[in-house]
Amino acid sequence: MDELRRRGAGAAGREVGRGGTRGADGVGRAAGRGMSRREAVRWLGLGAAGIAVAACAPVQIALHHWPERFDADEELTDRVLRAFVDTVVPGAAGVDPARVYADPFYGLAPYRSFLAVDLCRRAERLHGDGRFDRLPSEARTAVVRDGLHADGTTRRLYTGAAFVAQLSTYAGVYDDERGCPLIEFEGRYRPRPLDQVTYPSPGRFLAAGVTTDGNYA
Amino acid sequence: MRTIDVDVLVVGTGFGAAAPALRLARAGHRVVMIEKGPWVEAPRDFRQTQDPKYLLRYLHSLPGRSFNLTYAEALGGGSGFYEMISIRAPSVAFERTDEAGRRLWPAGVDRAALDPWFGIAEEMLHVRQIREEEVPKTGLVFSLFLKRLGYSCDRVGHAVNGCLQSGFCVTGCIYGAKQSLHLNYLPQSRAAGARVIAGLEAVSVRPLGAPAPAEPGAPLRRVPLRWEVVCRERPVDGGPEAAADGPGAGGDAAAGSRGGAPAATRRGQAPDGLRRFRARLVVLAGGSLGTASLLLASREHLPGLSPAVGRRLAFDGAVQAVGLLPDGMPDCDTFTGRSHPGMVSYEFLESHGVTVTAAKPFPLQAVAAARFRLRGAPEDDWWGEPHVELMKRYRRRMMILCAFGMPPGAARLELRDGRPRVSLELTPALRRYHERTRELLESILVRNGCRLVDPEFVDREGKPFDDLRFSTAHQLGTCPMADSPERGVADASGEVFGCPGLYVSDGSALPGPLPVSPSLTILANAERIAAGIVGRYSPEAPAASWTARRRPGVTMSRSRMSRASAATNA
Repeated sequence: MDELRRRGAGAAGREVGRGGTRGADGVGRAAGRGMSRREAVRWLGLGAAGIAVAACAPVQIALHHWPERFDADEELTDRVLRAFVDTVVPGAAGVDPARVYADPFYGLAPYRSFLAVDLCRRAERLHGDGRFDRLPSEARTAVVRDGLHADGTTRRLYTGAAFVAQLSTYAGVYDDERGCPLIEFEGRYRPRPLDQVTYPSPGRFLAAGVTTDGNYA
Repeated sequence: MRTIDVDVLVVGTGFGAAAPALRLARAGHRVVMIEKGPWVEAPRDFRQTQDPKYLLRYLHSLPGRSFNLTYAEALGGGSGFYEMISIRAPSVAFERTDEAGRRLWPAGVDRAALDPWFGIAEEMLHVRQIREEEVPKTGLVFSLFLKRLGYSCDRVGHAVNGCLQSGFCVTGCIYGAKQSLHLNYLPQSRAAGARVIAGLEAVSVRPLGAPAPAEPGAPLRRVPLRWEVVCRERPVDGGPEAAADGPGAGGDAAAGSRGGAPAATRRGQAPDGLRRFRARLVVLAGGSLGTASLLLASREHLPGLSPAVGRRLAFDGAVQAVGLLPDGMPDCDTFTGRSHPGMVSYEFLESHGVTVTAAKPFPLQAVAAARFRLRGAPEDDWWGEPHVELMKRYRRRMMILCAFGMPPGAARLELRDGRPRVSLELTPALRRYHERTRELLESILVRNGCRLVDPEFVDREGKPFDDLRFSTAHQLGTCPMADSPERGVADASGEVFGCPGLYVSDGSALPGPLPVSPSLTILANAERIAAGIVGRYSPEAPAASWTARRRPGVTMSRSRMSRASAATNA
């Protein structure tokens, strides 16, 4: 729990630091004092005047629509994001949203909590149930579609999150051995005889060539 | 700033750099190669992975207006990550003209002139036409497409020795089968005495005084130090590239040793992170982006530099079309066998100016580049159940066709605030080229019963581009050879106009687009330029005898080199 809190506050702090108003150290100190995530988000919002629009909008979303239950259940964010991944890539077993969306490489780490909150907020609005992760598949699809057609910043967040979900799932980026069984991508090479990568009697397939060595004059 | 004096400084370690470094080192000259990117110990450092963190360590992109280029920054340049397809550029490419109808290539440089040098490059890289029984399933099905329509299709050359068909050519061959430069030119250059330093970026080149042309046939060491290249050390993360600067770091140790240890690099690091090379000859071969950027950044020191730098960035005009195979058509296999499917059709080279092949992108490449959606399907079908159903067919039932051509016009490269920027004007002619080529590819798919899939190309955030956009890894011509400084940057010998002793030998020197992968043409032209430089100066006593350490590759006989030189001179 503490680790999740630290990770969330730290990630948001990096983004604010980039905007030039508060450094990561400030957030780190705040988190170190035991500030709750709700407090951290409010603190970020209060101190974030003037930060880049891209960073600001999700903060505002979170400030205005931060369900209490996210305070009580730290793992809720992961469950919601797992449901999001499963909605974008149904059958994407093996993708760990906590890892994908916390990975600073993909640039979504600062927004992962906000995405989870926004999914639940839309779930509440569209289906009367603020638990996105508990919705049936069709209802979740409608929520994600709603986010993808939202205003510019939110659409960017949803598009980026869906993109990362697809990328990490299909390419099996965290497990070279496993690849992605969903699309028969076997990951790292397993020795196989030549006849498994080609067809016998290739002459059946080959069109006439116009060169003797593959080089056109 | 630490100063190092050398006979020849080669900027870059890719296809354009490898030949001059090897040939000049073999001629006994003191050669240093510098590489901006990290050291790569092949095949040890290569991985079979789709992890973008690994790939983006070596591969980078430069997005611009209507245009995106991808390039490698690593020891060996793009050779570690290319598809190993090795084709001689067809004659028609050398006859390309500009808007005024003037031939782009300088007089005397054409396919016939390059053929002997192609032969040398092919021998060095073990290029061999793929055998019928080695063609991957995707290549066979592609060929069947063309056969059914009465078109031709050819098996092409791959630079490989002992292929295991593992299919991870583009992430670097971990078996040392794909002939990247790490297995031939680079070790042979080092064995001949060349030093190779990675993590060092050339930031400016300037003449030392007024460089005068050298007397033909004079020993190079009698030629004064004519050029100064200032380099900046780039931060490295402690990986194996730290060994790059083993021999003679900072000019304080003997040339010729290999590998070295991290400690050697640490010793060689300049306190201010800068190094100054003074050289009798400088060969610029940092790629179309790197070479042009360096010259543009140095323009104030090079008053005679042609205004043509970066003006005509030639690219391959790649166009793709995707289809789902109809029932009854044998399966492709996108994930197994060589990364390149081994087959190319020249059928449309004269009618459309393009060659056509099939592509086998890994999931990462496919998803990172495009959203797939069945044509006519709802806009949102790029995700969710419909998309998964499509992706389940990606490996065996999806055919991706790709055309490489010679599109009208060119992109532009310039420096703004010291950073390279690329842009492409989408002229009506360029739009027509794209439309016509796309129609051709889709026609091949449709006439074979395929259902079309729309690849909606996306930016780094996964957002589709709102207009036509070209993307290439085959950028050329930013410092083109030409018959005059008004039309190009270097003469046919690769020497920069008005800058004696400063050469360009990489893809930037090739004046026009090629409808095939350019690696072999770049290498052949670099061999030609290297032979010209070697022939201009008396040979020195070799700095070190050649001994192959890991893989000997091919040692070119003097007679073959002589024959190629004679053919070129004739």
